[in-house]
Amino acid sequence: MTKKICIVEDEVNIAEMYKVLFEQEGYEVRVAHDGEAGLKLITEYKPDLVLLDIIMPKMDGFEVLKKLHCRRLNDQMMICVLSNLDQRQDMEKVYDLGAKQYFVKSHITPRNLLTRLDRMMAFAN
Amino acid sequence: MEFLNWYNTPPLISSVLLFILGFFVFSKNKKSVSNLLFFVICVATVFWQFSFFILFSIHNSVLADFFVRTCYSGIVLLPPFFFHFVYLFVGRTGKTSKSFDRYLIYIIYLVSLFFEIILFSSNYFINSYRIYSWGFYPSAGTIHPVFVFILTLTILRMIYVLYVEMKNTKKLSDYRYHQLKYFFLALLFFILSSLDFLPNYGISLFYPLGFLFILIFLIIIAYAIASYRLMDIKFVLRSSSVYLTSLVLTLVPAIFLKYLFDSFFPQYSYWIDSLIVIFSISVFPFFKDRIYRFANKYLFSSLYDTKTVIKELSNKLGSTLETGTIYQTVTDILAGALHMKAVSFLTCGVKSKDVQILFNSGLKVPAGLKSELACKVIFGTYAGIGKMILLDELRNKPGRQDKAIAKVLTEAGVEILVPLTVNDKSVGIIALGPKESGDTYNNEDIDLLKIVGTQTAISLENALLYEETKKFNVKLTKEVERATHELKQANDELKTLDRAKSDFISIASHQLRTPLTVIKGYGSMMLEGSFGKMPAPIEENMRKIYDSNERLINLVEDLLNVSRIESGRLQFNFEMGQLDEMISSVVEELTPNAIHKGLSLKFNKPKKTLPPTKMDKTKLRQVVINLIDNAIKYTEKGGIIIDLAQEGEKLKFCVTDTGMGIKPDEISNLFKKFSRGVETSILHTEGTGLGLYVGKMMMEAHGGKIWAESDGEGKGSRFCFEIPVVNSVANAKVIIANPKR
Repeated sequence: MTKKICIVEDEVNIAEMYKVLFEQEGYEVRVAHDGEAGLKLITEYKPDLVLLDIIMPKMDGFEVLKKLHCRRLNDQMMICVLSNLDQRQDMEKVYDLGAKQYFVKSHITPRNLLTRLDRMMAFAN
Repeated sequence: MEFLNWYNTPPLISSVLLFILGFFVFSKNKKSVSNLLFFVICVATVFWQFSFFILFSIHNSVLADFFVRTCYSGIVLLPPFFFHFVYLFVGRTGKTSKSFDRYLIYIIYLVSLFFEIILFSSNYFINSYRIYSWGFYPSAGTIHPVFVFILTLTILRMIYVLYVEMKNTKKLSDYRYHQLKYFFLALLFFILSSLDFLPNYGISLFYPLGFLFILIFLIIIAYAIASYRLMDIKFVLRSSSVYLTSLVLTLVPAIFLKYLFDSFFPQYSYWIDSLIVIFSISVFPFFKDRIYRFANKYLFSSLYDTKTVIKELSNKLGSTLETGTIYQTVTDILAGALHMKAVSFLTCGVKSKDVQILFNSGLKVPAGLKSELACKVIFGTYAGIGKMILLDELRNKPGRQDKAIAKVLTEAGVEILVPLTVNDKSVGIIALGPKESGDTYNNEDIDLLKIVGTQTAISLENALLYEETKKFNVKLTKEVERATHELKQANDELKTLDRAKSDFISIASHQLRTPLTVIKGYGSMMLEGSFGKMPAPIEENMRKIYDSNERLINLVEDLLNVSRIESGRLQFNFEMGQLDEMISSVVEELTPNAIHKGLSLKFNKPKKTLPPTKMDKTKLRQVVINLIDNAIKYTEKGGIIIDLAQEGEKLKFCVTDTGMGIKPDEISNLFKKFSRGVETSILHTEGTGLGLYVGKMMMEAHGGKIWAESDGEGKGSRFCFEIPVVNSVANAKVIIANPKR
């Protein structure tokens, strides 16, 4: 079964970049460009994996995580935060809110990210 | 004036005074036998003196015969009465043979009785009268010498008893000793009056001077009563008595003068009367003043012991530093000693220039007392320079202001003002009301008040200094609080600024990374062929773009880290991890760069598994990237060898290259901010030198160290760091965040 990935990212170029690669590798990808849309998408689409940015318009990633946490949706899917924030307190916060992993975008190439995610999903299954 | 003459007046005066004194002593304590005896002695003496008065006044021989006996009826009783009195007077502490003296008293009483009987029944004792120039006088009978003999024995015994008593009591108590001393003296004078016996035997004197000695006796006894409470009479002369005495002393000479002039110059009576009145009026204040001073010095007495009062005051004042307590203490102690009606502590206001009341107990305060004038006169003229003000003295001052203040003080009921001065500086005055008894303040009181004033002033001065210190402390505390508040505000502002700065760094890093991420992502994908195979020249240039972007990402990272280090905000995310794994991944990532430059990159992994170590993976990774990237950057040919090994309790990592090397004197500067080897600046201008500085900071935070080695220019270099191995469970708990949850 094709794995469903949700990318919540306000920067269109970045979101497109990951979408291209992930679709090339056979994933089903949906993109949302702000927190609110992201939350709606995640709730309706019920993906296997969520790549969530933090700094976004309308609703930030923390808020999205909180809402998902409240709806217990984070148990049904793997949520990874993909942000360019790299401060310890930000990381601690997202782990506390139920995120599985934190990636700093500028530290990792899309290919490397995909490798890591593949490994994580295989491990989860 | 026909009735009185030069001869009969003295016995009359001594009779009257004797009676007054005797009655006064008796009236003070009617239950005391001593006082009764003293009264009886006086009455007996009055019999003697008053009979003399009559004998010196009459011309009737029958009456004279009766009064010579009446006169002696008193004299005869004196030996037993005196002896009895001395016996009782000494008796309380008497150490002489008491029973002997008691028998002696009976014997003397009996002898006196015997003589009384003889006196009135026969002429053996008193054989009628003799006639002298001054009048009738008793004539001694056959057994009169026996009486004189017995009298002499009695006197000798009395003197002996008193002498012994005086010797014994000298050490015991001042008062008792003085009482005895003065009584003894008085008695001696009384004895001298026995010179009056001589005319009994026909030995004519100028005049029977007995009355003179009796008057001296009277004065001494009165003085002893007033000053030393003789017969336990607490009698203090009052100013009214001074006034009366002055009046008498003025009137008597005036009347005498009038009498004298009237008899010689009756024709000038009117003028002389007027002159006498003027004279009397002008002399009266002088007398009053003198008598007052005399009385003050010798007669007025206090009922307290100055030493005790001063001691008590010292003790109590020594244990307080509160002005309120000092006022109360002084008031209590003065009230205990002097029993005055009111006490008040006054001072002159520093700003308002009027009298201010610091403490008041019972003093009426009329408006006049609070005036500026009062302040000026009381403090300016007197108290300020340590002069005590006695109301009586002030009234007699000629100054108009003095008079006005005297009036105000009278209205307020102030009798005396005691200055409180320390080192010529006035700290106030004590205003005292009149004594409850109505007595004046005597010399002893004034001496006491002087000492009390000085002591109180010192205590008050200390208390005021203490209060000032306390006030200063309060002020200081407030000042510190204010300053602290200001600092707190400044600190809050700084915190806000700091937060803003921190937010800026955070946002800046985020914003800078976003485009870099895009370049990195698309670049990597293009190189990987995600968008199709690129022609070789494009791919090569694409790689250059990618490499530069990687440097830029690292540079941003370094810059942000430096900024965080500088602001003390660099946070570490320590977790347990495998250093070898991290290094492998970096080597993997950088190998393409080395290959592209035609260099070999070799990682010598440790032979056995390394223990996990506590580290901030991101930060440490940054250091490793920096070191390897530098090695690639500064090496033109040859290769790079990476070593990782456990050395005791430490993990040592080294990057060895075959590059340009470092001059020995430059090694120490490498890890400083904005410093590079001199040669590197020529060859590579893109480096900022931040990497090694950041690396040093990171290593220090990990409890490790970083260093560089080089054999010199062109001989390659080696950069190493080492961090401690942590394998104890206790230390592992220090982990702040565990991402692999």
